Amino acid sequence: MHIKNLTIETAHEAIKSGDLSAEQLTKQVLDRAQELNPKLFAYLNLNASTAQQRAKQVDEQIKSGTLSTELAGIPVAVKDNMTIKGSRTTAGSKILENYKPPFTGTVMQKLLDAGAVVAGKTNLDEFAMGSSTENSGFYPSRNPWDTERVPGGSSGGSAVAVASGMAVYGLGSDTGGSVRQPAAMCGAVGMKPTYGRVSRHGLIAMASSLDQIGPITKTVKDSAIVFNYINGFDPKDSTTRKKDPTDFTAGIDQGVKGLRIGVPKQFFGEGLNSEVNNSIREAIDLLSAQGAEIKEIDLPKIANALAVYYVIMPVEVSSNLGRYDGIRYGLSERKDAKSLFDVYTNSREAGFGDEAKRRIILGTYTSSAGYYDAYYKKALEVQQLIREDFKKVFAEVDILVGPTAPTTAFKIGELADDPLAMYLSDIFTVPMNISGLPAISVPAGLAQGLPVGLQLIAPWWQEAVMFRAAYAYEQASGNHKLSPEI
Amino acid sequence: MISKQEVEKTAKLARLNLTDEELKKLTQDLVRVLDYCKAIQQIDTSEVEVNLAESHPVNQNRSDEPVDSGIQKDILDQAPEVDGTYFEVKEVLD
Repeated sequence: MHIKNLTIETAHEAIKSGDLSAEQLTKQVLDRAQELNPKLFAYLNLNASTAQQRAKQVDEQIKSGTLSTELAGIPVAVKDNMTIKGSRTTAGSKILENYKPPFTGTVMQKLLDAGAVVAGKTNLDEFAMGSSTENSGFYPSRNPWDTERVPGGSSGGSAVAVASGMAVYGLGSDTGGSVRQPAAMCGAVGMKPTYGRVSRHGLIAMASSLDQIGPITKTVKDSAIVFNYINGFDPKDSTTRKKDPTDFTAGIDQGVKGLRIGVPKQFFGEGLNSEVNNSIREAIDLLSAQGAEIKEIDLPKIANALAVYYVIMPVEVSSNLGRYDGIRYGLSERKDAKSLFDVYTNSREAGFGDEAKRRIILGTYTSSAGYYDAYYKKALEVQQLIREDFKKVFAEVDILVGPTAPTTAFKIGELADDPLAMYLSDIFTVPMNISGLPAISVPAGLAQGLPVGLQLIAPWWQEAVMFRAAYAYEQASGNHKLSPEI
Repeated sequence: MISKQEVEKTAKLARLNLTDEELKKLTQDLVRVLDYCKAIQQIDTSEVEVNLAESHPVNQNRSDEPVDSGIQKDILDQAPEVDGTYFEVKEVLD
């Protein structure tokens, strides 16, 4: 089996049976990563020797019987906005170019405790703000299906790594679609949990009421496996909730017979590329053929979700990015500074890229005196109405389906001049962040050689149903077997 | 219409030192994005009472007991200027 098609499930079986060691697997993955990174720019930090050492350690633990998890010895690509103690973490920004976190985040610690081997830290749009990785403070990543095109963002690096076999799975973060959209554009599976499922401790904050960490994998089952390890209440993140422990792989193959699937008519208006539309319609037909009940539903306020997001999110960004002041860590421009104020402004001017500045200004403006009511307060009210719309709809159906992104991967530079055009790339993913709902993107075939993603959305806390429906579609379609030629 | 001066004022609040070219571009961008977002002002929200607690959990409390993090040195190692266990800054008061 080619390394780019290797799943966590298959790798684990091979390691368990002794056919493959963590060291061998890690070497294969890292060799491929070193070969392809100069072409695809998925990684910001690849430390082959550290990973190899770690893999050796894990092999010993497996041999002695102290480690037997499904993730043990399997290389993972981690988006560079998740802290690992002592290991350079940049958030894709020059302001943290040489930052070494003093602590490891909860999700990272959970994976490390399970024996995961970190292959490296992947590229992202700066502070996770963007839909293409073109806002990275370092370089844009390339789509393995067509290297002239973006991989999507902001978790583009992780999506590239998974799709091209530079990692067996990846971690990303999703605030407005940043796991689902790059997964869709790279032909991978990307999932965003219900807000409150997964700890944000150690996730460099972008918009704290919207951010969630999610897995990027080759298959739905792999996604459920990773989700099993990363979800759970964390006393270090008071926005996580205590929920009954669940094995999200149990019952995943139950199928969709009798499942009520809602198709929001607002997701199929203008702005949706006609080829993507065709792929999604085909996918819905396939679900129907598998026994699901398909019903068109109405989400009347959903058209406002993007506007709500682009008011609420920048306000939170302007607050969260306030900590980068050149005093305690990160880039510090003190040379020409005559006052403390100058240290702040000079450091931030030098360290932040255009998109970061844009969103800070947007958020500072709309939350400032005189504008707060008209924008921020209004946005919170409309957010509530959107949540109500979803509540009503989930009284009639079990799952919603639609496209993940309005187009397939666009060319590098194509949308760089128009921030609004770039923002519209998230039009179908943002409503789930605004409302806190869990959602997953699965490969739905190709349109002119480029991957299309099908998005499945479940009610709050119903990831099990979401995985079940996604798995049924995946197995019936076989699209997860497609991989780029590279 | 958002003026360049308003954006300049906003930049000062946000502790950003923007160049004239950046100011011009950001003013344009701000107008463009807010024009798009303004649509939400047309929506009737007179019956809506924002209830942030609905989607966010109730306050999780823990006992107020000091614990040594064990990472003081790691934290100070990241700072540009330190004085013992203090972060050193330029004078705050004139």
